[in-house]
Amino acid sequence: MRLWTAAQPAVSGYVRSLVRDRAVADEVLQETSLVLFRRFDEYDEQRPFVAWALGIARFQVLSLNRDAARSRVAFDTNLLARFTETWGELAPGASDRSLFLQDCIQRLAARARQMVRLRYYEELTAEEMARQLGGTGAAVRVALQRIRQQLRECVERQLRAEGETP
Amino acid sequence: MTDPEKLIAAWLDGSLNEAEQAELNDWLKTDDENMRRFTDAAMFEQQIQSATVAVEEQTAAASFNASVGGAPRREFSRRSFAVFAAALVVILALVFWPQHPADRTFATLEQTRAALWESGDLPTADGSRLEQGTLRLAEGLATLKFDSGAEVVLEAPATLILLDAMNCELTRGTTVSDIPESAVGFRITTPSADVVDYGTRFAVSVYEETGETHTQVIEGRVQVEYAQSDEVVELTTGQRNTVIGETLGAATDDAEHEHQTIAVKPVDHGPDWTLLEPVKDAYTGNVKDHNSNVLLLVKKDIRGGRVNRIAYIGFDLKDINQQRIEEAELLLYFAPTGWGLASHMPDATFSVYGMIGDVTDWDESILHKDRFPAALGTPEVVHLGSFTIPQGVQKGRFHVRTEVLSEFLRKHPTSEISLKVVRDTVARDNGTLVHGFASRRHPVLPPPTLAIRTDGELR
Repeated sequence: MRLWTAAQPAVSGYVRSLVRDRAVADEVLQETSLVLFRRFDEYDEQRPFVAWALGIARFQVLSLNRDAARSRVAFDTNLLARFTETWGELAPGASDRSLFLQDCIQRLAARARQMVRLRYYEELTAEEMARQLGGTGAAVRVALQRIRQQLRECVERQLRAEGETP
Repeated sequence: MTDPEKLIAAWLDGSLNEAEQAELNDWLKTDDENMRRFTDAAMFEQQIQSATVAVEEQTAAASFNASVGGAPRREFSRRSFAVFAAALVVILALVFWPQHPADRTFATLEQTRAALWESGDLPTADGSRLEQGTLRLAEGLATLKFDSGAEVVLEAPATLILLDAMNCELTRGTTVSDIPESAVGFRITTPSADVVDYGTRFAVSVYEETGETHTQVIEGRVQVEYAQSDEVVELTTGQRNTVIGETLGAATDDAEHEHQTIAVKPVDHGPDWTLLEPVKDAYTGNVKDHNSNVLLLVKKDIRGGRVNRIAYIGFDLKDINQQRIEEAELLLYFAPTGWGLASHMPDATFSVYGMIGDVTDWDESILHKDRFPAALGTPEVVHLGSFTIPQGVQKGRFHVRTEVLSEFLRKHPTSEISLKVVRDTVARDNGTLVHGFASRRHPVLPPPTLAIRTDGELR
């Protein structure tokens, strides 16, 4: 249980990155956690728990793919397997970023902050955002890409500062 | 080929067409590094999403509290439901999660701070699950969370034998325990007594040489059971008790006395010595989220930059006949700060300076801001003495006892004196160790102490 609590953010991020519809992603996540504890006795303690959990989540996403084309996986199975494996490798090191992201988001200029809210909280598409904000979908995408870059730099700066100044 | 950065962005936006998706797939297949870059972008996108939800949730909660109703409320409820559903999954999993058959563990090593372990038979990595066995902590702090809910912080040097989720045995050192309702009855056995908790926080120290047990209740109620008979003493908030050899001491309300965690070797401070505690102490060079209320942090940065930390201590000698000071000693009680790497720190030399001139005006709140207030100028200082803390050591009492110190005190024009403690040694690398000694606010360690011997009567 403790293992699952620790692995949960990585697994839910993984599922949500592959399944665009939030409600469907939550379903997949729930199903994944159920399968995880049904099959817990198969878990090999020598392996990282996250990797095992991601493997199970991957099958849930795949079965979803077969059910209906509801996911945004356009990968073949081989590519999806590598994506899953890479996610498991990167997840432990990336968790620190979450700590600083909230701070970085709050520091964004007003317009950028509004765009972040529309995109990630209200979950509007670029076109819907363009209708609200004026301009074109393409312009919104460019702006979003710039914001991502900005957030990444902000987080990395803070991580560096963290490492240097205890 | 399209710029991969653009393909990734389009994938994140869900605006890839089939040809672009094929192009992206090809790019991903060519190189593991490409896959890593892509995966990292996808992961970062999810992190932005959760962080945004958290930020908006806070804002919504704040505005919801401020003015009930309006548009944000709908969003808030919808989100809250998602959070609730997620929590429900966790709760269900908690209930149905199968116990691993071979699992004999009952506690978790939650966190360690500057910990150095001696040989024991339990794992010592952060997050390790613990079963019956012995932990031997040579340096630093370690936080254990028992499955009963009891939280025990082990302060080095200490030996703790774990028995089960409600029982452990302390044979030397100090534990500070936080006992929630679920763990009422949590028992710490020592060579001379059993300390049973009936809720909240208490500290227990065992002196290795004598087996003395010192108990202090920070908050709540504990019962000390004498090992050699069935005598029992009950302690409540603020009370302390000592069990030495044949005697089970009474509960005392001596709140001014510091909880002593190590048997301090007798100091040759006879009856003609006066021990002074500071009237103020603080350190400069605060870094966001890296501060201590109870320790005075001292550090010399590799770049000599803004994170140099210097401690200032003010004493008032008004009860001393300054002219007749014969000998003086400054005592500092160091404790691990948990910041920086002890392994990157060679033997560290510290210097104590006396501040000359009219510098009595500094106060703790101003000093905590940044550096010594510019309004007070750059005070002149005189070197009073130095001491060295060997590599790997972060705890213990260190002192300066020099003729210059005595002379400084004798000749100081006013009774209020200010001392400054700096570290002279720079660490070998970044991530440098932060040293710290107990301030006058420290709950258990003695404050900086000025011991003074005069050749006659006090004033």
